[in-house]
Amino acid sequence: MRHRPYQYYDSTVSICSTCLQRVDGKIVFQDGCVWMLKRCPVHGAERVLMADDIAYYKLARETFIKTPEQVIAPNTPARYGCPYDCGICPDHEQHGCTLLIEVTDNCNLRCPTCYAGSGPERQTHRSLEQIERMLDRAVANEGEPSIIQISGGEPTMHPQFFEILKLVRKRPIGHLMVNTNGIRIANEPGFAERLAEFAPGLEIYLQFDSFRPEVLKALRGTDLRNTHTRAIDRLNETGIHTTLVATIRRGLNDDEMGEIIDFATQQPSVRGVTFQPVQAAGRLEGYESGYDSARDRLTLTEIRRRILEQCPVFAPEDLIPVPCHPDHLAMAYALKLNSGLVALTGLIDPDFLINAGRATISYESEPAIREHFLNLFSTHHSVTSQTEAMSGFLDKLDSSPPDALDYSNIFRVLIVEFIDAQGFDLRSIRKTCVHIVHPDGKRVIPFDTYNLLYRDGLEEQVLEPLRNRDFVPLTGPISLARYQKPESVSS
Amino acid sequence: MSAKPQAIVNCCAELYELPIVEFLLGQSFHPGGIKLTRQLASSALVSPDSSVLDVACGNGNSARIIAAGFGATVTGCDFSALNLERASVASHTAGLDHKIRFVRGSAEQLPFVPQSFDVALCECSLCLFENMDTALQHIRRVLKPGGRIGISDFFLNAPVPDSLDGLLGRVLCVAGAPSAEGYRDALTRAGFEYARIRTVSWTLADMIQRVRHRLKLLATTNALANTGLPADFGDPVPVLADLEQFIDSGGAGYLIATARRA
Repeated sequence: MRHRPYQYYDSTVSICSTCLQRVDGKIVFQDGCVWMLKRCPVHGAERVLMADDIAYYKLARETFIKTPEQVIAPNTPARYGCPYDCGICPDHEQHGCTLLIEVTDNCNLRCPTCYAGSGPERQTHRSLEQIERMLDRAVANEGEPSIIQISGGEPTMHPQFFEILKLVRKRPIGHLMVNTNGIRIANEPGFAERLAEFAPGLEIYLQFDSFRPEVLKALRGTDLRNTHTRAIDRLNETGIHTTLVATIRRGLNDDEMGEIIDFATQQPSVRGVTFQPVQAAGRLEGYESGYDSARDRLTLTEIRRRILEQCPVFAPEDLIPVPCHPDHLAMAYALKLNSGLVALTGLIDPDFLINAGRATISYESEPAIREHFLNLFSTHHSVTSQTEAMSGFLDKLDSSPPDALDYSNIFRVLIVEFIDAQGFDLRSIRKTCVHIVHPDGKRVIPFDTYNLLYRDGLEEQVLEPLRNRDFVPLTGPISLARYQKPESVSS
Repeated sequence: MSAKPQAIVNCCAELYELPIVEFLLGQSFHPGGIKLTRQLASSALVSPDSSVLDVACGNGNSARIIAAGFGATVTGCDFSALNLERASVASHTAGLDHKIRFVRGSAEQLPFVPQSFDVALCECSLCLFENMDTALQHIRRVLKPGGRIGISDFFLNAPVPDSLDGLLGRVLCVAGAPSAEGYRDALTRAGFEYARIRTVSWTLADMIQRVRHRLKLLATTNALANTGLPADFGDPVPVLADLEQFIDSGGAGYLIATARRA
């Protein structure tokens, strides 16, 4: 009997990473890793690493499941099939926990990697009228959006930046997040103070990738260390709640995550760190001999394990899937004390999390706990509202912590792996919950597909031909006879 | 903790070579079986990149699970030459020769150069070793800085009843086990940090149930006499009942412990 070199787990629909045509695929387990196999009739077979931790991958997919929450009304019909109908189309399985409004294409940096392809040469700022239409779309879809993230480009470069924040504040929007590289906060006297006028309910999502100049030059094109220091000083002085956001590139700064968490815990204003592997979209420069997915892609499980290795206050059961989009979001909560971080799983009865691993996260017998758990482990929290959510959750458990516990010191670690064309899994893309409001103000599109198919000219140049493509027969099977493990994984 | 005579340790290794022991305890030999091995490996951060040492690897069942399921490279080390021979054959049959090697040696004198491994696993065997502190120091020595140790074993909160202090009690790893905090202290003494202890005593109830079921099967088929067990082994049935009662009363339990080499 001949055997496959793998265990077959599931079938999937993916897209070809070259032409973005929908293709048939398989999910298989081999050598302790989860792989996607797929074949494009034109560009041939591909093999993509999805996760290097089979147990965690299965836990996320099979256990951390919740009933999908929906937008008030979808914006586009289901016509060409996912992902060519964004969005939000009636077949998407999760509303937007976080909605991005990109107010400008202009940026005061020109980062070698930028999913948005922003830069100083791009001068387009959206008008206030257009931004109002986009905000109104967010409100129409969500009712009361939990988080609106003002993004870009570099949003602080918009000449009417503070006017935009006021437009957000006029609407029924839970939390206002500003996604920034921090340059204006660092350099412009009084800028942080003006931002602080929008607190509470304001959070700065501050780019912070590394402590090493060569890494910052590779990711951002310039050494931003002094900018970081000054920006965080201003934020500490003004007490604006801040999340540090690190873009992680394999072999470049994936050894610095523990250090970034340590640093973050020492900053009074910083309430959390978000780690995002580079999404292969937009501008992908600065790679020796070009971006090579087999060599350069980094998956959520790899980042998760490196955090656990580098930051031993977290145990594996502390950093768990987020049920909105469990295989692409992982989260841990901790308490920030003078002595350092204390992982909060220690306060949650371990039986609760273990039992959560038995079937699904639907604690039919304990609906109150379920509700609070799902509320807490969700991306619709800013670092401010997570405090309340955590206290709500812990109070519902039998083993409530002593009253003296100060919830305001809650610290959050989040991993966000955006889906690229290589790892595109239709099952998963339907659950994405970080969405971008299209500049046309008519549509809301998942971050992941927006960068692949809908941003700027992509819709016309790439998506339209795909929608109208004729059937092309396959030229071979999805499973090749033999596969070798890429060096980056087997080393 | 009290030192154990070398004769008993050797005797244990010989007992584990008997087919009856595998029949009674299952292929994994230890409480929790494959499921607990997987949980332990995950807790100790085993990945496809890891080089793993399985201390007292026995028949190599865990080594095969970790090599096949986690993609890791595994070195199994055991005192019993016969066990290692069987383990090698099984790993060859499973097509895992490129992932697993077996080395004969004692946990108290591990035959490896310093800083050889990312992870060391020690399943249901630490409290069998003559000197647990020496074994932990050796494990620390062969781990890389930041490397993880994963232990699964019995813990004792009360003195062992006389009926469990015999040979069978020793085989079941009960007698001489430290308390849960005792493991934490021992890990700290040996130069480990961030020790985490998790109680998994459900595994013992499952184990006892299995052994009892199999003994009944042996008794029914009159095969109990031909098992090759030593004459002084005694009647296992009342020992199991005593053990179950002892566990129920909170006197003993099972745990997994993980820690990081400082």
